[in-house]
Amino acid sequence: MKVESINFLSPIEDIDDIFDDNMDVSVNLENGLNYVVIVGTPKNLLRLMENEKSNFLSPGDPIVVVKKMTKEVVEEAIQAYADDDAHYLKFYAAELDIKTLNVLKDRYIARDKFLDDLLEKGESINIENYALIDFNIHNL
Amino acid sequence: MKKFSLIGILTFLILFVHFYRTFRKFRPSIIAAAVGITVYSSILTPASARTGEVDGFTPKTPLHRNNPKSDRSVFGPKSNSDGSGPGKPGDEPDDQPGNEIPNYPKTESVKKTEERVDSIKEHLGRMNELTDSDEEAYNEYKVYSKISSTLSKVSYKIRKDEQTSKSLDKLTEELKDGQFHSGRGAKKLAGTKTVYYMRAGNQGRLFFRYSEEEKGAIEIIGESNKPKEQEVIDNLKQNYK
Repeated sequence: MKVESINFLSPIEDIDDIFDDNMDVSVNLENGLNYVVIVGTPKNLLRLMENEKSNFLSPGDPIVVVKKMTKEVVEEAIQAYADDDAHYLKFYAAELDIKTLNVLKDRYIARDKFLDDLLEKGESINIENYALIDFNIHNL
Repeated sequence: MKKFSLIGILTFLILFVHFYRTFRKFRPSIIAAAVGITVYSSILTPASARTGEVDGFTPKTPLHRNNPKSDRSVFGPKSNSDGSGPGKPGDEPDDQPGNEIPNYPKTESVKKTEERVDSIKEHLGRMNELTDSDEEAYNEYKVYSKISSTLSKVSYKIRKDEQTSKSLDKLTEELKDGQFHSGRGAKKLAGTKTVYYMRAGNQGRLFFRYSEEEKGAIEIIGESNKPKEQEVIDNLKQNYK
């Protein structure tokens, strides 16, 4: 999907170490929607763990990892994440509460079962025209 | 050393003359004198010099001590410094008063020390960045809400998500303690000079600025999640420079 604009939500010129930083980046797509993703460097992930005095990064939203925090590299990464209908840009920027996550899993189970039924009947498994969001997993 | 050589030569000559008078033979007299001088010099030379451990001028009593543990120095056990610097006697549990041999901690490489110093500098740099040139750093801040009515509605809506609400509460507590690096770190808001924001690992974003009226006080001026972040930022940019 075409990227209309990319905005760095913190001044990129203020970055002291381009190999050790992260920032929020706002992306406007041609569909008129806005997505915010965090972009950061590998060294910065280590520093975040050091700040947290932890052996792992605390649970949180995914981070787009880049080699260095320069305008060119970040824009290149955002363009790549906007490919294929901006699948991964949407995924990295998604606000997924626990109910939504449960619904997504249930929808996948329902879809899989539906495909099994179609295969068993020897019918076409082109399911793009089927509405698979209106379902009850307990009736499967 | 010169004096020692002269005595040796003289002793050799005396021995040679003595043996020559006794035996009346030249070669055996030289050999006997040489053996005699060798035995003589071995008796005079100190044992430590023969083994080659130290030179002949090292005093037997050391002039300095490597273990200053009884002194009231910064490295002594009575020092209140609890820093983790390298090479400090007293850091190791075995370094008890009365131990004759000090148990020094493992040494740290120069590179590692430099890295640690850089890391400290960096943290201080970030703290300075967040406290503006005019702002003093405090251990604790008085934090209060100064969210506009427009942004209060956004805050109310996004706090309907329990996780986001929890993360914003946590960020507020960390802001009070001046822990600007928690979560994904604090940043200055692009396009402003006075607005900063802290970011939780999940959706929570807490926008703040230093109070102009009260020193050591911070005003929370906005809360958002990621989907509402751009909207809140646009509003803040209109209202704060």
